[in-house]
Amino acid sequence: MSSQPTVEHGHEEHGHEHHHEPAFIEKYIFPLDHKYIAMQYLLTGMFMAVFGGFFVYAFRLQLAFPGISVPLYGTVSPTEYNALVTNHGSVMIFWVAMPVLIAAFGNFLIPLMIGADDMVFPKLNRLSYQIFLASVVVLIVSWLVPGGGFGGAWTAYPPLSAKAQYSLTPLGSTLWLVAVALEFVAFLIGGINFITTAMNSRAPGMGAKDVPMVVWMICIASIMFMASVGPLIAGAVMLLFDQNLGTGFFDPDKGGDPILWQHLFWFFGHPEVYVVLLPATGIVAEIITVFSRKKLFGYQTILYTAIATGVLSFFVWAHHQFVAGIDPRMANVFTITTVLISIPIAEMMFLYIATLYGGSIRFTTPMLWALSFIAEFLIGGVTGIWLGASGMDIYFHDTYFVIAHFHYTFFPIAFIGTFAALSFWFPKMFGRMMDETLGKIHFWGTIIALNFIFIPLFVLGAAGQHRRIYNYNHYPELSTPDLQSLRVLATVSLLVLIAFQFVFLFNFFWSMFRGEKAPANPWRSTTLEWTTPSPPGHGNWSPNDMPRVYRGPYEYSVPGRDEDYWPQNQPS
Amino acid sequence: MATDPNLRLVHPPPRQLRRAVPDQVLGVMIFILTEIMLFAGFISAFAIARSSNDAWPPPNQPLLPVQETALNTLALLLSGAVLSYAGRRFASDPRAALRPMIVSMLLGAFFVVFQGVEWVSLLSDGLGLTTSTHASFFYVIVGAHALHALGGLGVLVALVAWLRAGTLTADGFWAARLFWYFVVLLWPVLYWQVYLR
Amino acid sequence: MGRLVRSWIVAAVCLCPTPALACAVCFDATDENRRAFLDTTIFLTVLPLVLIFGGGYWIYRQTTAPVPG
Repeated sequence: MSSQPTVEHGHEEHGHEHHHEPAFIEKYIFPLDHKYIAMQYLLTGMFMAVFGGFFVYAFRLQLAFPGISVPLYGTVSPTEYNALVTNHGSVMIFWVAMPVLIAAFGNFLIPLMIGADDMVFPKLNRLSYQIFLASVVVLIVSWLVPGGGFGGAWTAYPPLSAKAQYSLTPLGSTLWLVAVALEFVAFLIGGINFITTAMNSRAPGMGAKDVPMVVWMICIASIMFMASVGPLIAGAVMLLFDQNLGTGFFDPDKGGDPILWQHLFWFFGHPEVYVVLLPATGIVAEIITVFSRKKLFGYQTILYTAIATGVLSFFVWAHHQFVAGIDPRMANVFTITTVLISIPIAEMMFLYIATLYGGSIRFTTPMLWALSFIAEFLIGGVTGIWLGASGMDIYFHDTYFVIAHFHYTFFPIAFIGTFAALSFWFPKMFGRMMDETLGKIHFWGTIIALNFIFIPLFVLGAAGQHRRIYNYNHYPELSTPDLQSLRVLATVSLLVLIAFQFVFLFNFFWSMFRGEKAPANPWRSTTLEWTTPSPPGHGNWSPNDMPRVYRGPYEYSVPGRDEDYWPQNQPS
Repeated sequence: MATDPNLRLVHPPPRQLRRAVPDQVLGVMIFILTEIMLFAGFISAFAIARSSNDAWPPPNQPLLPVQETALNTLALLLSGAVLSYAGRRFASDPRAALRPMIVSMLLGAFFVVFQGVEWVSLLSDGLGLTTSTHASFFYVIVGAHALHALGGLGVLVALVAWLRAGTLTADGFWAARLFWYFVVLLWPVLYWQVYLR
Repeated sequence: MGRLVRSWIVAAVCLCPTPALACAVCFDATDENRRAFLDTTIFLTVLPLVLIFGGGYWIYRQTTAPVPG
């Protein structure tokens, strides 16, 4: 909400809030300030990532060394194995990638980058986080109830998810579903805020082409989320009724149809992939321009590719159902659209590489993360083309190849993107610099381990290893010794990767309190968030000194200027 | 490297951007987008269930009250039209909008009560939630709409209170009207899909 | 030109294959059911795009419309 007196629609009472800093509880526990809501999302997301990481640690050790007593966990039973896998997937997508990438960075960056003092609906914003927190509590409770957490995979296909006698988790599956539904409501409210804020609260002079790319990306992602989540909520309500009230929406015995759930789930599930991808690509765009001191190559083209991705993402979802018995003609159409969607994304990656070309590149930690995003995501993207072709998918379906493919997309999105953004905006968030040496140690440890986890899984998948097997020793023809050694390699690499995350956690919390004090603009960047002190005070700028925008966001190395960057708010 | 000709060294001070669509209206529009997709999901599921069952609705269950609901549909549509009239009156004289708003609210309340009575009689006729997939869909879809209608009624009550207190803004009224139009216009589609087909 | 036409014909033919008879799951219970999946797929896919671009166009028109009064 801009506090310019010319704005008619402003909430008049909001203007008074600039004059006092809120008290502790109001500031940190029930904040209205978008920056603190972003911190809440960020820390909650990191907290959930610890669970997601712990789950994968437990079930990967079970796969590599079947039957061992996992340190800190104990023996993994088949039911627990299913619950661990399911909740690893759900936590990482719904409670880590979404809250951190979209909610935390969306909340933090949108008002700061467009020169607004806060979100348009601050109270809805607070409500959004509170609902999200409730969803976290419900999810954690679902792991503790009798029977344990839900074990029907994060896609929750019925009949496994609908009937307690199959899933063996009567309470866990219901609570899981409720948690997912609450989480959607939270992001629904958050997304309404993002789009409205970016549309209505931009600083004077900020036209559509002066908006930083990451803000565009978060908005496009939010619109896609809004448009795709409805059918899944409908499906979730129906599944909840099937679980608890004895209806038969997904039960063929009672005239229902289990494929119907896949239909509704993937209508959301595939756009969701691009919902989390786009903010990550936006973050990368911000970072590579700053650290190559060049204007973003093809601003409008990147924007159009993002929109094209958004449009096409509504046409690709049935590629998850190639072996589920869909019409073969439909499979053909979805093969074509799936292969098509790689074009805009590839174009975007090429434009990022073109941005790097001829720039004076500085390999700081955020830049390393941004570059590794491009490299690692490309592996995920290219293998996606194989899986998108229905002929190959029939072989690869439900093998470790699929696992390796989507981890090569999701790990860059959820973790590399987050680490890039955190190391880049950390000075603005906490007013202190992160340690570069520790950051680089963390980077190399993570990236090398990452590839040693998932390249073996590609090999396993190409060998036809099915992904949902608890113990390969139960299937002697599957557990040949050389394949088992690949599983051990992947698991050991995972342990290395997890070990290096402690470097990050130490760096994060140590720098938050002990790091070097950050100047307002440590990276000599042009966008508006760097024109206010680090960290920004309540209201971001002082009310009578709100920024005005004179040019686009990526004016680096402009000829004829002393400085190699030209902030958006400088008149000349 | 050539200098960009558009790169003027001194710029005129930028102007405040025009806010084409008020915040609340934009927020409600995005919310309605999600809601439409929610009901699109229900309708799609219903269509698929219909296609995989030979007899639809199943012959051995109580029939849905098609004619009575047609009357009820008219009541709801009328409520929307009256609210639209109230919106036009509000622009010239906010006080004059009070009476049509109350009429619209009463028509909406009539719709919800009528639906409730219908449900009670269907339940007493033996059409339970688990009688058949058709019945399950009927209760879930119509119930979801009823929840929205109740929410919309709550908004209408609040609108009347705000109008009385003189705190109702044109934008807030616009946003609230949009939501009620959504509730109103959605119903004929659901009526056609659930009752008539 | 001829090549373009030919490639379009090939693409069109690809869209209507004879169902693979060896594929045990390539048939639904009824043909009507298969049609319903196809129809709702098109419906669900097109509806959000129509809504988003319709709404976007409306907002764009609001932005460029002359100020009332």
